[in-house]
Amino acid sequence: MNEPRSSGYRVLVVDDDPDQLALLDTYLSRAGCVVTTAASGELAVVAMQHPLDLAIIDLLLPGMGGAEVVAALRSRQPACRIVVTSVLDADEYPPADAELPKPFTRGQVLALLPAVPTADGSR
Amino acid sequence: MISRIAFWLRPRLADPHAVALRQLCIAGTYALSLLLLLIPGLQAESALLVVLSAVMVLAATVAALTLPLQHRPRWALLAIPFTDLLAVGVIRGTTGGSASVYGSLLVLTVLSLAIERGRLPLLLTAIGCVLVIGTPLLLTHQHLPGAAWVRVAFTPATLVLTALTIGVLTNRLRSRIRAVQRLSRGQERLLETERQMAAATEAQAALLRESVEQLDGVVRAITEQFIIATDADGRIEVFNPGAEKMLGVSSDRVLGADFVAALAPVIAFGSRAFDELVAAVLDEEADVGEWRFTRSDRSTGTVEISVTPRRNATDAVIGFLFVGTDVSHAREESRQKDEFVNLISHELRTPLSSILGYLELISDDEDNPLSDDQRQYLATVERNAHRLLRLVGDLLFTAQVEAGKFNLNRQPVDLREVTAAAVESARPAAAAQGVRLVLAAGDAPVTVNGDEVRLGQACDNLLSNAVKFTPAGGEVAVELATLTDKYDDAAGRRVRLSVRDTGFGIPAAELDRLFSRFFRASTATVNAVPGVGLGLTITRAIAQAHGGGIAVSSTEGEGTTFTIELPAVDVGSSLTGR
Repeated sequence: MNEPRSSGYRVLVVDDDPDQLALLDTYLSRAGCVVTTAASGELAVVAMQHPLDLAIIDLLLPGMGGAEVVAALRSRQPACRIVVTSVLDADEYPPADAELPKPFTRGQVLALLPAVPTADGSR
Repeated sequence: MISRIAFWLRPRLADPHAVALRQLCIAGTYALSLLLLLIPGLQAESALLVVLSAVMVLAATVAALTLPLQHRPRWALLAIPFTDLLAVGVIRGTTGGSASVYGSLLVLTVLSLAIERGRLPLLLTAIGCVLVIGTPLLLTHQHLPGAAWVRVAFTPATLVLTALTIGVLTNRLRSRIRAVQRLSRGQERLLETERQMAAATEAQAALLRESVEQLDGVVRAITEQFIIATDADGRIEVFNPGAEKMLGVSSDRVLGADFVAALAPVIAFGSRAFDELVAAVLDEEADVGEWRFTRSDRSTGTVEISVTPRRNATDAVIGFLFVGTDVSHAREESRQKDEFVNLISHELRTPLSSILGYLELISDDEDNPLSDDQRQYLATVERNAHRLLRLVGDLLFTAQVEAGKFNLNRQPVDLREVTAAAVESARPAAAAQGVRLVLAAGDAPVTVNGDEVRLGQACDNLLSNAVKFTPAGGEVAVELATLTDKYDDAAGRRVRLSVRDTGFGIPAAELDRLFSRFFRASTATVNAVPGVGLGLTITRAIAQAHGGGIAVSSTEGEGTTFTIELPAVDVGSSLTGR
């Protein structure tokens, strides 16, 4: 349903593909998250200056690669949950808190958010 | 004039019997002796007889000089000295008979006669001497005292004995000469044989040299492969120009040196010693592998190398031969191809992600619900996008298989669950085609140590093939069993998964190409079976990666059975053994 699940959950999405970026933004915004998008690793580092709860980072980025962004975020915000996404096979991902292989479904994206029980107890 | 006479005389004097020579001696001595007649007190009684005697000697001399050398009959050879004998007898007779000085000339003529071979000369000597000595005595009509007759017998007898002695001596001389000639001929023959043998040996040596040079030339001409031969301990014996070129090392630096020590700077042996490198070929006859090497320009490459043992006539190993071909290009091309496929696959997935993602957005938009038609159309789009996605995944997987790198996530897996899941997901397609699906898995767990996802993929491939290849009304049966080998321990037990269909079948001639990338059986195209030919490549790779294999049997028009066998694992056994 369209209820905000995680109101105020701060999410950073890093992907150089504008369509993917917009897709994730749509899913997460409709779920009530506060979404910051970054189209490159350098822009992501700028966004890391603000507190974040979750980051979804694509591995194949121009310039600064996804793995470097992961490392940068870990050192700056150790409490932030990190999700790695890519067209590459999962066994090539650097270690992260969760994985989101592409193509993903809406359900898979929402499963990354912390569960907030609704009024009737369902997720 | 004198030279001409000498020229005419020489061949005649060279004759072995030396008749002419003897005759000339006699004639010369006789001529000189005629001068004795000039001495006062030494008179010949009859000038006529002296002339007769001289004429006889002359005739004999002429005969000796003019008779043809080759075919002189025996009697001629004897007649000449006999005539001399008689001639001397005549002149002796006219110069006082037994008191004549010419008596001693008789000895010369007897000598000449005696030199001839055989007994006839002796006889002639006897006759001649008797005539010569007896005739003057008879002619003087004297009453000979008894002592005179003794002289007739005694002198000839002495002369005959002389002739005999000379004959024996000359015979002995002749036989010695003959023996020497025989030896000399024998020696010549031996020399000739030796010369021939020497010539034959030289010819063989030349052939050997030629064949060694030819072989050497062949080895030297090989410049694109390296050929290195070592002895049994690893010392380099042959290092061809190909090796010099590829490895950038000159042969005089490495000949005689230890193989591993000399080439370690340019070939990556790892930490293996020479014995380890050649261990494999001591049992089998050849070992083929790949080594990394460094060229003179510091670039690296890959060489495909075959090692073979060299054996002598008694089959003992006397050394090893390393033949290497630079396959860097081929490997590089192959690697680039795989990298390309990798890249393309990932590039294809990116837009597919967006397609599927936005399709989902449209379909699930509660604010803008779709009509039924729209929903159906979008479902078609989604289905095809998924199909593309699967194809990309398969392509990527085969590229990884070719490059030898895909990972398995191994855990104990009960194949009953895997096959059940595969059958369930194949049911809709089977139902749509009118094909019946049957699963016979048994009651006991069928466990292998493997990657559940990949094993599921293998089952899906086999099932979907079976369904696609079976016309309506047919059946696809999946059977699962644990085989017990005669060894009956965990290492020997195997699991068999077979998928049998009653479909179009595959022609026997195509069965061995069935598992190659992009190969599609002719019965597939004939019967318009969809597919691109990757499924079996992937299935086989999965089976082999699990330590097992896949086999196929088929009869055109009746059906096909694919069988995968994998090593089994005991339920509850530890995984560390695998």
